[in-house]
Amino acid sequence: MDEEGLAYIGLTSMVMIALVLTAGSYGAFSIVILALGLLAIVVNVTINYADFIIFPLFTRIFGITTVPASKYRIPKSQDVIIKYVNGIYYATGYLTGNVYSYVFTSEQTQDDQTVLAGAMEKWERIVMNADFPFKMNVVAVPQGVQQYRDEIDGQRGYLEFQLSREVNGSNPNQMVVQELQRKLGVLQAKMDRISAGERPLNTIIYIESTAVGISEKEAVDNLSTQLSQLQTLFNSFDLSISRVIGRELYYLNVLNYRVFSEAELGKIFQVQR
Amino acid sequence: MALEFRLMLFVIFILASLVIVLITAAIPAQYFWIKLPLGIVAIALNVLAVSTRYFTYLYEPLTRMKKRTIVIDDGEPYIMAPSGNAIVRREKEKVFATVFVKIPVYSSATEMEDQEKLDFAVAFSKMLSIMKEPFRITTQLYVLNKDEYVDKIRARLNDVQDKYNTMLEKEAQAGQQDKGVAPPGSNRLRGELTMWKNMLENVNRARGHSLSSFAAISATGGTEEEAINLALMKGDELASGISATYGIAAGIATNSEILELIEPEKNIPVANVSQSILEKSAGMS
Repeated sequence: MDEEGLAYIGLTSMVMIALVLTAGSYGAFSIVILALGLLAIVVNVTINYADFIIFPLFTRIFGITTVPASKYRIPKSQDVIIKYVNGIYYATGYLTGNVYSYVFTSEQTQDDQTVLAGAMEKWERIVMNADFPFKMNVVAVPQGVQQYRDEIDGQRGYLEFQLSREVNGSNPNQMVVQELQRKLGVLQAKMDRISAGERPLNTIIYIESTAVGISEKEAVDNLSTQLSQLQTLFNSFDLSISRVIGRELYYLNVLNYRVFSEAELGKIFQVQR
Repeated sequence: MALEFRLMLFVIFILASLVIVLITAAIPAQYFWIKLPLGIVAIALNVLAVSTRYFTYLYEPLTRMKKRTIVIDDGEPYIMAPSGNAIVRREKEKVFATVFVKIPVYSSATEMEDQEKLDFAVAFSKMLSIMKEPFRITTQLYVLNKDEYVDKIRARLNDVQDKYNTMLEKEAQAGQQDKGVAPPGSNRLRGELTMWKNMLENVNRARGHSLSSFAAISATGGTEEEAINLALMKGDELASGISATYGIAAGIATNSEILELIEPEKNIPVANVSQSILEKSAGMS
């Protein structure tokens, strides 16, 4: 859980708990206030951690469409952006997936290298089998070296404390000791790479596809088929891919025209570390 | 700035919610007809406070909502820079310019040894860390504009056909054909003619796809010119880094190249759409 999310949930929940605790003073409506207060807490948690559920639900119920720019439209389902040009509908949708996480791990084994070397062939197979346009996007978000070093130092200090407590305990568990040592090894390897001049990096990976149709429904249906096919094709990478719905869809479309700053990316998307 | 605005809204909403909760708590129970709407307002403000984390971009457009349509922006999403080598996007008072770098990599895994594949993948991960600020790398599979391609082949075919016909006429006039010996020039032209005819047939039959890679990086500035210049500087730096990593000549994309990267209708040309519609209707009948 991120600190900012906890702050949002903590502060708003405290206010709602205060409301719930005073619900008794609402007379005949105590139950109503109690139920609404508790519901607000649930809704707040969902907005914070799964806004892709709440926002499309809201737009569907009220039938709200969004216009991000001239000629573009996001229908109430919030899972597609439609462009209408020269009598043709172009529907664009997005998938997210953690494709190359192993590229950035510091503890590379022989197996990881085999996977890495095989990635190119898998990618070419996907390209050969995809019979429609799509884009594979990787947004590289470099981090500040000092900030990253501090983070690693903090993690290392905590792990060393845990390790010394486990080792000096009355009955040390070898499995736990080994796991802690492995984690420390990973941190050391990361530190070595930074010392060797490599820049720490976060990534956002997403896949975009566009389908056409002479009606909006046809374009959207074609897009759904294409995205399902892409999900199947990218399964060879052994990763979980999910369709982008809601707020992130709008921002991914904006990402076509400008690359956000590190601060903006951190606020908008789930950045892979 | 946007982040500060977001936090400011959060503080306003949460404080308003808290104040209303405290006020309603102080109101005696017999005034429940005042307490209930106030309580509901407090709950609504509380939910609004959390929604400021992600949805501030909708707040202002929501106030202008008409017929269940929220218009975030009714202008073009970007404009092409006068120099044609960047796009410019305005967001309120801010100006952003984005530059696109073409990455001409033509290697294929099928012609690589295992070590080369690994080196290529490692080079990719290194390429991601060449800049100090965020940038995007995209590989896109798009549909070729067959009409344009077919027109080129047809023009070439007609050209060769004309040359071949002229040569045949000359040969006939010179009486060379009577001797039963085909001159080497006409043989070559006949071969070329067959090649273009076969190519035209193949292109008409096959689906035309193309794969290209590019990187995008943005800069912000007080004016369009400033943003464009900064973006171009970053673009050049990015292009140099990519060129050095892969040993290729990465360059800045311009005009139509940029449009192919960002406009959906350029990814799927109208000619191909009409053809696929015709194919579908033929299949249905």
